[in-house]
Order: sequence, then C-alpha cells, then structure tokens
Amino acid sequence: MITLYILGAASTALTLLGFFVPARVSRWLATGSVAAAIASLLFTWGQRQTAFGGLYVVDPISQSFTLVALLGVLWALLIGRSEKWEFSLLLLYAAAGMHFMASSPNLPVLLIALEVFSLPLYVLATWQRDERGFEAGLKYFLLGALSAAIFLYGIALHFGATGSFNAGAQGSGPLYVAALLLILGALAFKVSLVPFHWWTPDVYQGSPTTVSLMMATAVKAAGFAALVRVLNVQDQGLWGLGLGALIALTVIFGNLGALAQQESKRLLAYSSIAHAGYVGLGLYSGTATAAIGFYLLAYLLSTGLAFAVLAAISQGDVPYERLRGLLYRKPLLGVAMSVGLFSLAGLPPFAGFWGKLLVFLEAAKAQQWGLLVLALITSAVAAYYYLRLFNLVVARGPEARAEEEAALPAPLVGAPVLAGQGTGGLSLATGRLAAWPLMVATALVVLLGILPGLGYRLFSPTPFAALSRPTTASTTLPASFTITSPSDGAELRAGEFSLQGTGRAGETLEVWDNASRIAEVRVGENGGWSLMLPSPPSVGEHIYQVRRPGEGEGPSVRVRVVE
Amino acid sequence: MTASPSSEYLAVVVYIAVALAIGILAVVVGAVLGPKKPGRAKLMPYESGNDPAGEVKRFPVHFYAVAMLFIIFDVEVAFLWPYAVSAGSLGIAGFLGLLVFTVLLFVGFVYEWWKGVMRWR
Repeated sequence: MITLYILGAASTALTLLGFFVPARVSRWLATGSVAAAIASLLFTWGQRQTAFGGLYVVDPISQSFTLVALLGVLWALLIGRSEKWEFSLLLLYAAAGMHFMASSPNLPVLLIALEVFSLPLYVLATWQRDERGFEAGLKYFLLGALSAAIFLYGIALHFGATGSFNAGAQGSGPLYVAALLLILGALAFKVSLVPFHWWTPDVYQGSPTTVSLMMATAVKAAGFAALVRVLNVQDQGLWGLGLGALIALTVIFGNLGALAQQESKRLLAYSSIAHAGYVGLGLYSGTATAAIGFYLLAYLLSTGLAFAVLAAISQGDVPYERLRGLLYRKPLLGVAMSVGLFSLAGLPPFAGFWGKLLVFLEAAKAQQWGLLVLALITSAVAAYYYLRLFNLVVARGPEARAEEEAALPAPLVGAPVLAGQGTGGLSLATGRLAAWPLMVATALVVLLGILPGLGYRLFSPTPFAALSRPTTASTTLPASFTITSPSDGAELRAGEFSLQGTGRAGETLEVWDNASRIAEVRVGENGGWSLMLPSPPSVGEHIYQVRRPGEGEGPSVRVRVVE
Repeated sequence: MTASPSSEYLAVVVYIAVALAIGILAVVVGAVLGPKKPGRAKLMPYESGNDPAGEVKRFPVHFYAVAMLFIIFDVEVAFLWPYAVSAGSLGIAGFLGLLVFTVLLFVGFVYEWWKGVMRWR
C-alpha cells in the first residue's frame, strides 16, 4: 500500500514540480522516490495486504516482481540523464504502472496497469528524435496496442468462461482455453516470447540504450508477474502446451538469432528474448515466484550491467568493434561488461548461473524434460555469442585505432558528452555515468553468484508464511458451506491433493491458504465444490479455509504437507 | 403508453428516420427542379474571384491538441456522470474517491496549461 502511495504521490507531484526545478533536480527527486518505494517494499516485506476491494493485493508475487521492476527503473534513472525532466517523470509513471501490474489479480485492472506503464515507454522509445527512434516507437506502439486489444478480448472470454474477472479463476471448456491462450499471447508480446518477439530487436536497437534497458528488465518483470497470476493453475491443459511451444521456439530462435548479430544492442535484444524463454520454464511449477524472482533479479543485474556499459559508449548503435579492447581503455567498463556477459551466459560463480539453475529445477519438478534439455542445449549455444563479446572486450588488436579511442567518450566521470545535439534537447547524455552504480551492480552479480541464498531467500515465500498465519483456526463453525476433504489434521503429500467441500449450489466461495487467498470456487449444482490447488503447497503446516467473499473467518482444516 | 426504455429508443429511431427522409427529400427536390448549366468558372472553389490558395503542407497541430484534450476530459465527464447520479448514496468515501480522480486529471490539465498547449499562437 505504502509503495503505491509513494509512487502515485511522487509521480503526480513531479508532474507539476518539474516546472520549477531544473531537470537535474527532478531526476534526483524521481530517483529518490523510486528508492523510497523500494525501501518501503523491503520494510513491509512478507506482509500481506488487500485494498480497493481486492483490486490491489500485496503478496509475494507483488513484492518480488515489484522489487525487480523498481530496481530496473532505478537503474535506468541512474544511468540516463536528459535535459528534459519529463524523462524522469515518464520513468516514474512507468514504475507506478508496473507496481500495479504486479499487484492486481483483477484482469481489467491488469490491462489498465499494462497501459499505464506501456504508454510512457512508447514516448521514451522515441526520445532520440531520429528516424531510428521514430521507427522504434511506432513499431512498439502499434504492436503494443495490438497486444492490448488481444489482452482485452482474452479478458472478455475469461469473464465469459468463468464469470470472474480474477486472474487464476477456475474454469473449463474451449472458451476458457481460448481465453487463457489469448491472454498468454498478449502478455507474450510484452515479455517478447517467440513468435511474438518481432518488434524486440528493432525497438531495442532504435530506442535509447537507457530505455532499452528498462524494456528488457522492468517490463519483463511486470509481464511475468501477470503471467504468474493468470497461468498459475495446477491443471495444465491446452494452454500448458501453448506455453511449452512458446518457450521451445523462444529459446531456439532467441539464441540462434543472437548468433547472427553484428551490433551489441541487437545482440542483447535477442539475448533478452532467449532469457524470457528461460524465465518461462519457471511458470510450470507452483513455486514459481521464488525461482522466477531470483532469475529476473539476476538477469536485471547482469543485463543492466551490459546495457549500462553500452549506454556509456553510445545511446545509439554500438557495433562490436567499438567494444574492442574496452578492458584496457576503460577498465571499469570492461570489468562490468565482462561480469555481465558471464552472468548472462550462466557461468558460475555469477548470479545468472543460479538463476538458470533455479528455473531449470522448476522445469524438472514439473517433469518438462523435453523443454529442459532444449533449454540446456540452447544455453550452451548462447555461451558462444556472450564469450565472443567478452573476447572483444579483452582483445588487444590493431583495430583499436585512434578514431575508436576518440569515439569513446573520454571521461567516465566528468563533463557530459551529449549525443546528437541539436535534436530539440531531447537526446540523452552519454558517457557521464557515475562509477558507483556500476561498481555496486558488478559486486552484486558476483556476491549473488557466491552466496545465492541471499537473493533466493528474499523471494522464497516460506519464511513469511509463519508471520501471517491466522490466529484463530476454528473447525466448528456451523456454516452452510464447509470443507469435506482433506480431513482436519491429515498428512498429505505435496502436489497430490485437492480440496473438496460443500456449499449452496451456485455460490462463489474463496479458498484461503494460511492468510492468502488462493482461489475462488463455484459450488456446483450438486452442492459440492472441489479445487485442484493452484500451486503445490510448500512443505509444512497449512490451514485451508473457505470464506464467503467479504465475510471473515470460515470453516478451515489444518493439514501437514510432507515431501 | 408504457414508458419502457426500449420503446422510447424506438421513437428515437423513428425520429432519425423521419428527419433523414425529410432531409433527403429536400436535397432531391433541389437537385431535380433547379436549372443545370455547369461551366469551368462555376466549378472553381470560391475565393472572392482570386485563384484559390495553393497547397497546404499540414495543418497546425493545435487542432489535434484540442481534440485530444477534449477526448481526455470527455472521458472524465463519462466517469463523473455515474457519480453525479448517485452522489448521495455513495457518501463521503465516494466523494473522496471522485476527488482523487478529479485531482489526478486536474494535475494533467495544469501540466498542459503550463506547457502552453492551450496557447493559440
């Protein structure tokens, strides 16, 4: 809640404040607001909250993905500076939209949140007012609008099939499958899964590097938050096949496409497509939040490093040759780039390795062996193009000519070098990148590589479950609805049971696991309901409870989940 | 006659049909009865005897800006309408919610005002 207030108030206030203070101050205000939002997020970490009648929910999904998204925005604010304060303002708007995207289980609200963070990005994509920028912005806008339309139609079908606007509502039949496939397709646009990825290389290349960084990290986090909510159901029917096909295509074409690139930003675009495929592997199992959260954090840090180095060289294109010998010319940039590339390639001991390992484990848990093998093979292919870049960074060659030296902005910290002056003051500064964010991010990639538990524990929901256990666990409430199976005190194996109960025919009930609402069920004509758990529960004690929407406690059972 | 909404809308449809018929009738009568002597001078665009102004590359963006603002604030009105109808029953919480919505849009309005979008240079 407090995170939302901070982001909302800050973006509203900065809209008018920007008229009175210099752009530099606006940028620091925006950076401070995002940092404060991150702090508030960490301060309330593990607490659950619901507001606006269930339209806004703070839970592990919201917290994990908001953290990654906000870190992405913070990173963009730290490395991008423009003469116009609207640059910071638009990033702030996008941050607010992403937070809401990660925090709403309500599909129409998800669509609005999607637009709230997409519209600023369409503007930011055209920030460098040249032909490339316009092309990027137009492509991004047209395909974004198309995907929003598909999303909207999916929502309509979802409502038709389930009678509920809530993501993850149970349903069946072709209408339900069609709805999930449409929503999957629309969100796949945002996280650029093949074959919905066509815009990605052009847009990442044409946009200013700072903005591409945002699109590659924060947007993906927000998109995957929605995907986790919408697709987080146990029975993988046809949509599971669809997701598998998307992931298989994504890891193959993303990595093969990257092999053929000659330009660093385009390469990172294809790399981000491939990484979206790896993240998708985590969607198969119910404990996805922790694995995907850690993966996205590791990806954010490593690709953030790579993009930041490119942004320091140029906001436009960075052909491979300009990276040659970077390590000797600009040691900090060289080291940061190398660490980023190693982590992206998934080499130990860098954060990216553990990210990949975690999502691969999720795929193994869900027994998606075919996808897993495919991902492993393509991951090995990917090492080639990452290490090729690394090879350039450390190469001492005759190509490191004087004009190449001159092309690289001399000061890493110092006077600003403006790219493309005379474009209406809209261009982004290049080269004046403060050294400390790079150092911190590099250190974090290595630290999370050596001590991955630090990051993983942050995203793992289990430590917090105990904090929010309901205080009363009554089993004697005489209600017109109840849980009949499993029985109270039963010992059950994870992932192998469903909940069953009775109620009034046609009534909609909420099912709670400990203190979080996990699903909605509709009582059938025979007065009974059943629910496959949307996600396999963690090992340990669980209190399952059914409630009438809007009412307090309902009948509950206490069960032990064992391995 | 019962005043059910659908029958009232039927009356509107009839009204539109009659209005259209009368309009078309007027145009047809004018087209049929008038004398017809087309000539080069008669078919020229009117500009007080001068040759019409040359080509215009594009129109000022102001028209677009005004249309855009109209859409935004028209949507605001669309949201205000249900509140205006049921303001009393929504109580103070409803009013505060509406206030937040209005303030957000008003901030947008102040932004475009200070940016000079409304200045018709």
